[in-house]
Amino acid sequence: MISRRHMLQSASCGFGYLALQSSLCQGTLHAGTQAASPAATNPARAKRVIFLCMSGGPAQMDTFDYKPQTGNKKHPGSAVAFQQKGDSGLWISDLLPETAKHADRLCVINGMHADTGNHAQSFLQLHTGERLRKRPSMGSWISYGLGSENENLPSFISLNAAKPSVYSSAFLPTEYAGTPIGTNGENMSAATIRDISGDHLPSSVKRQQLDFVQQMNRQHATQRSGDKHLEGVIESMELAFRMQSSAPELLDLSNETEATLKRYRVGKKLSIGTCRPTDFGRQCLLARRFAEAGVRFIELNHGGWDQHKNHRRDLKANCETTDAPIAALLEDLTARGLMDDTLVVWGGEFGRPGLTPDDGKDETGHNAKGFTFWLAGGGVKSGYVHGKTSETGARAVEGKVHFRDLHATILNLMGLDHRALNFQHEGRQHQLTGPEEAKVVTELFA
Amino acid sequence: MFVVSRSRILTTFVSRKPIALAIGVLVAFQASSGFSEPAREQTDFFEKKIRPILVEHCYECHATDSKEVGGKFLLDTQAGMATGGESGAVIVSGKPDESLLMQSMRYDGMEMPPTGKLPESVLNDFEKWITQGAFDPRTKASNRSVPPAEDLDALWSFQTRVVSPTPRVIDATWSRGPLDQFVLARMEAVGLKPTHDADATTLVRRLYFDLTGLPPTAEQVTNFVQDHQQHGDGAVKQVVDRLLAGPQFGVRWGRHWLDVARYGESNGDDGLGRNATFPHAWRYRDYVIDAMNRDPGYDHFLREQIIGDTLRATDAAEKNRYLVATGFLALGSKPASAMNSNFAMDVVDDQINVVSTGVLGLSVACARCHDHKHDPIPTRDYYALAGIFSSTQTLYGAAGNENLTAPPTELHALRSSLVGDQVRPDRSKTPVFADGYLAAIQEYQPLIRESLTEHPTALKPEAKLSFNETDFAKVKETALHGEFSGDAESYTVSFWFRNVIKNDARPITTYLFSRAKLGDKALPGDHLGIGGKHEKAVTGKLFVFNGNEKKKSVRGSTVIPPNSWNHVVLARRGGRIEVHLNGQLELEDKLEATFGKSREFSLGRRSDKFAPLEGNVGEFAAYERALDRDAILKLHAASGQPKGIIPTTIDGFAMGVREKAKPADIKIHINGDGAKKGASVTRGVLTAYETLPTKSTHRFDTGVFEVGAESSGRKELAEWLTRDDHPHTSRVMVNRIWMHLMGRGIVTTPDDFGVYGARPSHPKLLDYLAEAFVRQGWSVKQMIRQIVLSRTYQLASRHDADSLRLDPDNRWIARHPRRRLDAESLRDSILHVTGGLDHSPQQGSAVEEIDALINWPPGESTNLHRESNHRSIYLCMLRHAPPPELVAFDLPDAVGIAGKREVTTLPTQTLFLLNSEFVVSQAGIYAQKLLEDPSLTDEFRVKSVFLACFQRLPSDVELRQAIDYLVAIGDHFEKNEADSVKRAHRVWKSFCQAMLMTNEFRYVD
Repeated sequence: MISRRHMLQSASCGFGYLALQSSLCQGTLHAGTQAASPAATNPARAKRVIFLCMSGGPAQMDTFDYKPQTGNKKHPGSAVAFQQKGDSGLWISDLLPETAKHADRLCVINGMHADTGNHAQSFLQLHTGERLRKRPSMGSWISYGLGSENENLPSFISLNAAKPSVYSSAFLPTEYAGTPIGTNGENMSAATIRDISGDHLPSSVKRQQLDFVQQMNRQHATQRSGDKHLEGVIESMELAFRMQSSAPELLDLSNETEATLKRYRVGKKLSIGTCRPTDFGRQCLLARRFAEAGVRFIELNHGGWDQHKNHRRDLKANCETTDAPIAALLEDLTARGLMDDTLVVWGGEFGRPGLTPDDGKDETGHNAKGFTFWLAGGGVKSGYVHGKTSETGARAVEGKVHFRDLHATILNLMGLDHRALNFQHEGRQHQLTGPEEAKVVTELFA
Repeated sequence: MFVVSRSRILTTFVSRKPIALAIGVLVAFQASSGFSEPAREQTDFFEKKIRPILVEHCYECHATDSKEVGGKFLLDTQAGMATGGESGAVIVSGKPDESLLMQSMRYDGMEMPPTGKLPESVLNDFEKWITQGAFDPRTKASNRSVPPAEDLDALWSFQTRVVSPTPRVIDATWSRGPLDQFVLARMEAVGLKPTHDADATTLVRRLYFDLTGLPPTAEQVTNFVQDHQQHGDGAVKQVVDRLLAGPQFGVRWGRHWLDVARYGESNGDDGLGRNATFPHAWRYRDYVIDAMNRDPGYDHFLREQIIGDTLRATDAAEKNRYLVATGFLALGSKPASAMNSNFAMDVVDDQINVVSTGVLGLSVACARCHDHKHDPIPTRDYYALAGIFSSTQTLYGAAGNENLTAPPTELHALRSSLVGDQVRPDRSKTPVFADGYLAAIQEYQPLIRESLTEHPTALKPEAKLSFNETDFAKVKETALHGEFSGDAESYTVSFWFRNVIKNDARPITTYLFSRAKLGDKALPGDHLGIGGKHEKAVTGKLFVFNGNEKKKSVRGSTVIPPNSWNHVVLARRGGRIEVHLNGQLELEDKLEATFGKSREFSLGRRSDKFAPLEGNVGEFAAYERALDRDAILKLHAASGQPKGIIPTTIDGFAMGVREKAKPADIKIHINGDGAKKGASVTRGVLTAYETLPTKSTHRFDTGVFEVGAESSGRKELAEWLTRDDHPHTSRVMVNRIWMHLMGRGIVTTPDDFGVYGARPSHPKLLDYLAEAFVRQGWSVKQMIRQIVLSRTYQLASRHDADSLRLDPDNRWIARHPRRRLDAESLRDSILHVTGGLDHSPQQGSAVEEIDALINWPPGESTNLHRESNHRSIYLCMLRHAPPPELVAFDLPDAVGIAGKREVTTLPTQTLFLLNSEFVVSQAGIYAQKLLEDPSLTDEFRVKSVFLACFQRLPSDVELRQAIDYLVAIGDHFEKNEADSVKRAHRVWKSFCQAMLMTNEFRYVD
């Protein structure tokens, strides 16, 4: 029986060797250093994804899709002032002054559209491509396709995670499930991986203790030769032991300078209306650290964009909570040379209809027919706008991009072909983009 | 990330040949003859204006030669057009506005063609065409017909059971019975031989874990091994029967069913981050544990859960059990109702899912939106079932008192006695009292006693009243006044009355009696009355109110019909009030006396003249003390009048379902969305059984599925599901049982027996077991007994290289599979060996008093779990906030049906063993216990830990390793722990924790 370690040494695909089995990974892969390059697609432009998930449906017309009034009759549009920013002259809302400084790095998609204005369903579709059934999350698909860059850490981490169905690996092997750090509603400033450390024993004794356990385990396994589960547990215990030292280090921000913490607004927690105290600054700083450590897919979550009533007040709070941290993240990724191979994705499950000036209303609903996402880094154009919505922002009219197209595009940027990245389950071939045809939006590529 | 179970992954890649089957609703065209001669003009219009559009924009998806026919709807033939597709007919001749075709072209709800809305002029043409009768001259039939059954095999589970003769085997001595023979025959066919039998120690450990979820004690192992040496199989039978009869059996097997029933004690994230508690769900948990222990027959178990609310019960306990059982249909996880017009259908979807997937092993829920290409379950079937559940009212409770999450509903009230079945005595006639009644009353020395058949002396009528033998005092807008002789708090009044006012005619139907100062507007005193329309919960029921200052009222539960004669006794005993109605205790409660020094009372109206009685009052008595209950009952009995029905109290509430007032069929929801509806579907069950390809001789005939006018159809559904010859119900359940005992199902997808599921490895065995199951009265325990007593079950788990090479996945069961303890068994076993496990059931739930949102507001983490040493099944199973002691080991999320749990190997599991508070503290407790007796040697202690954890003694090598470890750790602590007692504890604690972490502790051979 070949142990997993032997297998790893002999398989050139390294930690992503599972992908071999799906005849996807045909290129050469060097464990721990390089992404897979399936023969069918162009080489990978990005190695990792940081997904800034803005749940609740961000108001696109008050953030990135500028809709001034046209004609004589008042119509729904932008309710806040916009300016053109950077050399590219991208229109960005005054509520996002820090992000606006990075206008020339953004690749804005204004023609997004989805199938439903129901939160739960659209949120699921954004993450898994399917709105009703449990399917693998985008992060799981990518981890499955590419494996991990760091053998001491999970390949998919979800910060302030929403419900498990959006970071589940579903039918993909469970090692590709997202590891949650802080689940929705928990205090994010203290969130960590469960049981990651314990001070009941000094670490040297812990090592001795595990050595004793493993001695017993090996004897037990020897008497039961050929049981791969028992061997797997022995391997997994070692990995967990290593995680005890690697993960808490990453989660410990005490070695960051005061200036950095301030720049990210770590610990700042606004709780106004729908805007929830998600410590988004800590999430962004953690994301940078995980990216540096080689985590493949990092999802951040800020809930609260569902500002039905008190639209203006809650919108302002949501922008304020996320603006500076995102800007700091973009700044650091650039400074550290990570921007080129890190794809940053910003967006939520849908958008909102705009407010109509002077009609006295301060209330918005959901709009799945036209909304905005932006990408940055990882091989996409910068200071670029793709697609547009109608004059009132009611629906995408040009350069329409569906979630499945976005998924196909992200996979492509990671060097994966959305049709080749599939999995046979219950007699059907599944892929992130679902059964319908998805198109890679190559116009976005740099 | 961290890869372990490679074979599982590899097997997932074994692809199955896709099967091209489209049973169900395909257009079956009958060429119609006698087609009337079309007018040239109409034909021209069609050919010029309509057909070209259809060809250009619609045929791609809606024609016979389309790759996949959209919505099962063909537009390329007249017949296809007329019949419509899965959403029903698309054209209502003459009525464009009601025609789905027109609506979709206008992008109203549906959007057709999806590539873009057609020009206004085209829409006008279609509108005109439909208005004029949608004339369609095409006659050529679509040549697409139901494809032949290329693979009848895919529909194996829809065919009825076949009882096969026991197969011939080469080794005639090995088998103990037909079960073994079926297994051996398959083994021999692939050239395998069964491995040797498990030794007695291994077998008893396996049996304990499988039947109770706990390891045996060292003593139980020793006893069994001795017994086994002497009695062989007899010893096995004995231990099996004992374990099956014990209470821990239900704990273990109840948990298996709770996985199927997606049991949870909170809603789970509703999509808005809200997670409402289900404070009453635990009753369903207790019901399931009890049902597993009672073993009423799986068929009955299902009926209880699906139609318990309508089942006849012989006593209150049984009735309550049935009501609780229907929680099965109510405790699903629901998406938020806010901004969700489909909420009601989402609840129905969950119910369809739990019944179809849980009971039939078929995923029907996919058909909510579309017919599926290969699936024999059409959208129509989904809505036939949906009609049944939408005719059912789901009682899930207050939903955390958060309307955005779900609109609040009532719950089933669990009553102390049966109400419905008691016959109410006829009280329409004036009572004629028995001879000894007066004497009996006198015996208790009343202060006042007036028959009211003649003008009273001790009571003063306010106005002139008539008194007579036949109907006593007749009252209307008046009262009789009296006085006690002192102001003692305790007193009793007894009288008979008839009220003629309807119970919902006035805010308060009537006041009967006041012990209060007459005319005082603040109403200090006791006021006895019958509730009216003011408060529904009290309508027609007795209550006592103690005045405007204290404002407290206590109430009864029996509705008093107007025009009936009733006997009421009000007794105050200091601060408590009792009311008896017709010789039954109606209410009893604390109620402060507020009448002070007043001695006055008023009969037939409240003391302030409000709500007077209209009717009669007779045989009045007042006592200046509280009569005891015996006396009150004796006095009623002496009247010779029939006793009242036993009033009920509510002992608690349960989630569940009940029939809706107006059951009805529902319409197809196009694309699963309620905004657009298609044709109405008659309530019914799955049709796939009857649409099987005709060559099948094993067709399951549903017959006529007729739903009674007053019935939701659940009754009929339950009858259909539990038919002895149902192809799925028994197979699915025996497969679940087999899987829990044998590690893998005969069908490895226990929740999917459909065309996408796995095929059975032993089809004949499956049918043999299913048949035996039904013949043994659907007894789960008998089925388990039969399996565990087989030689197949009792095989060793070790194997030779040959069997591993020939059968790596152990499909042919030449050995017993080694299995890891699941989350509950791991925790329970740890508590068991450390001595802390409480085997008794835990009462209630950590959230039984909490109707609220979990972790709300966000950022305010709340921990609702409470510490418990009871078995894990009793921990609070909050969805998306599961018990921390269980969460690491593949606990199902309780949102979907989980007939089979995942068995993953993740580092987070090791982290739990290394660092969790639970494991660390249990190790500490264990160490404490080991060190209690200082005279024991370390060697003795090590041996006792081996015995407790592994049910065996250490080998010499292991013993030495253990002692070496203890010495090494002791040396380490020598430096930094001066206290030798504390040091010993730390050393032993680390040893105990290590033992609990080992594979041997966590795996069962």
